[in-house]
Amino acid sequence: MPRLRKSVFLLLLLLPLPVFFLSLTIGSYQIPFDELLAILFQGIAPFLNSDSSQTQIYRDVIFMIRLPRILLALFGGIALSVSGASLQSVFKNPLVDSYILGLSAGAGLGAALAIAFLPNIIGLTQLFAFLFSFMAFMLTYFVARDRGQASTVSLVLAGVIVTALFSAALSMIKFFTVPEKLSSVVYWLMGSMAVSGWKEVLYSVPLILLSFLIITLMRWRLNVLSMGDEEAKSLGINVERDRLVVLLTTTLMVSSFVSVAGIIGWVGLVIPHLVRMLVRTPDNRIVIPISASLGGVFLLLADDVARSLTSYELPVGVITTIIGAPFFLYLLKKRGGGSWRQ
Amino acid sequence: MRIRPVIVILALTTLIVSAGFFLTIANFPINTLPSSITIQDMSGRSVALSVPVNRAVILNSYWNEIASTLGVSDKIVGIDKYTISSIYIPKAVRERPVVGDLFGGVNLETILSLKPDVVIMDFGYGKSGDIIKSLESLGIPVICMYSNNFNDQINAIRLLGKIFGTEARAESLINFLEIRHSVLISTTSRIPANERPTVLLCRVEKDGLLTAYGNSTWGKIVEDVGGINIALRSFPSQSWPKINLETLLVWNPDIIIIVGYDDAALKSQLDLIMKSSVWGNLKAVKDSRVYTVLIGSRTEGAYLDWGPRMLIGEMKLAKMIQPKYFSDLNVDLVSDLLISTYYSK
Repeated sequence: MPRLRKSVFLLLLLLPLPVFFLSLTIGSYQIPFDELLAILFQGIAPFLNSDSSQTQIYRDVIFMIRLPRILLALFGGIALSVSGASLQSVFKNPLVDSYILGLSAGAGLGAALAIAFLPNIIGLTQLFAFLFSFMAFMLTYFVARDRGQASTVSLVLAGVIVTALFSAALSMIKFFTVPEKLSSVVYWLMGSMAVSGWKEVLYSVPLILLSFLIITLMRWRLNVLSMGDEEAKSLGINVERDRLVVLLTTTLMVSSFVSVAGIIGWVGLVIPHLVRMLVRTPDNRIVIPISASLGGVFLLLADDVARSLTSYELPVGVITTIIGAPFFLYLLKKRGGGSWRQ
Repeated sequence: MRIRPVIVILALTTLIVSAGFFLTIANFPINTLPSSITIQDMSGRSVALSVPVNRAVILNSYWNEIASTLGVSDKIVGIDKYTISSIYIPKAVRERPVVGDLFGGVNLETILSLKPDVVIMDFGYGKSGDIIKSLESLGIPVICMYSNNFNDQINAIRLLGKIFGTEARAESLINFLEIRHSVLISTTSRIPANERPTVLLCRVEKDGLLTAYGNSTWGKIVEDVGGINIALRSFPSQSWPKINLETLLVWNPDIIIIVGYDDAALKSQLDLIMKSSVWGNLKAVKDSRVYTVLIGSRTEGAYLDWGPRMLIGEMKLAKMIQPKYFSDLNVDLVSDLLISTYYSK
């Protein structure tokens, strides 16, 4: 197994930092670069002072609009891609992501229910999306459980069934709801961080960080889980328990992001795949941190495009799909998926 | 000491004249001086605003249309994406920066860069709640608008007139609309119950189902001009109930009015419904009482819409539903007058 050079590993790991600062400079509101520097680093470098009449509005743009959104995109990308990488390991299947467990269908149904039938209270849609995506996962898990065990095959099948069921219920709501609310549902499903602020960051980022920490601590166990139940058991791993922990953790991180940003696809599929090809190993001790780093960078750049390409907002979920799907195809054609160890 | 009557008369005259003078001064419109006032918007919130505003971002086409009829199109600095396709809004307004829309969300940075004094938008659906909160946290005042019937439109015109400092123009438009609307209502009140036909106002969907206008702005117009809105009577709480052809046959309305955004949409809807098996059995078809109405703002001649053109839409429906009682109504004359007076480009 070729080892990844330490310097490359570090470089990939630190990539989010420059992209983070680049993103702070991007946006439809023109902020002179020296003003931006001054506002950002005034605290540590007092000689950079900015006292133009525009400073307050620049500060608002940077700290009220750009920063929360950048953080949300960064951690959202981490959540989607780390959960994708973990689940691909657990299921020994490179075409799995968190949505296979019914999460997206659950979140969509929850959001649609709240939009269509509940009063327009801020936060209610997010809460329902979160609860329903968690519910969808629990349903998948308990449908798949047989004699105290949920095998990977039955989990995937149960996920497909739950997704179908929830999607049908979603279609029913779409059918019965009035056009105005129908549009809201459709746009919610496209995924967007257009009007996200600190509230959304506060709702989701701590949960994402917590689950990311748990997954990072489980990197080695993920490797063992990916060897198959028999072998893992022979190594003294409590397969059933560890698998459930991974499933719950990934569900938590994806649900908390999807509930505030809507359904954003392809990140969890493309990024781990790309990472495995890049580092030429399925070793999760490397794949998980690099997936986190590149996943965050990918969604952050996609959202930069979404918010700055036009004077209005493009749905970021559509952008990730337009970039992600052809790129995925290219990867498969070029490398034949050979980096996946069977 | 005696006071001479001449002095009393002189003093009184002076008092009256100066009082009159001060009242005139006070009433004189001083549009150039902004003053901070508190405005009650249509969601019931109190919003502090410096009026008249000079830069407004308006996120719905109908409020852009009203603002334009009030002669302040140059004060609209940003629009939503649906405003682009309205031919009843001056081209200059349609070419302003698009900041997004209430469903997909808005680009907050674009709005900030337009430096608006106020953002005017609907509330209660889409992402409006989040948008209002974000804008207010950035210190931009938001005026929430809403409409469910003719009177809401009148209130909206008055509110926009106050915000843009064009109260006189707003009152003139309101007067134009209200006089004619009240004629419709009073004529309708004389129509006996047994002369009111059942009416289905609907859209034919691509899957062959019908979306009826029930408890909605346009659905209520049907009743205002002497029809019995069968969808409203059957589903009093639903705005746009969907029905199938069997229900259509059961309802068997005296009049069917199909609405569409342009002629092509109307034609394809008619083609679709006329192919259905129930069509020939319907009373409205046998009596040749199937009509089409252009809605929205995409085509010349589309009048059934929110905004001042709603009056013309009402009149068109009145003539279709109660031709006997509204035979004298000259819709073209009124629409020409409305357009030439308030929509001059």
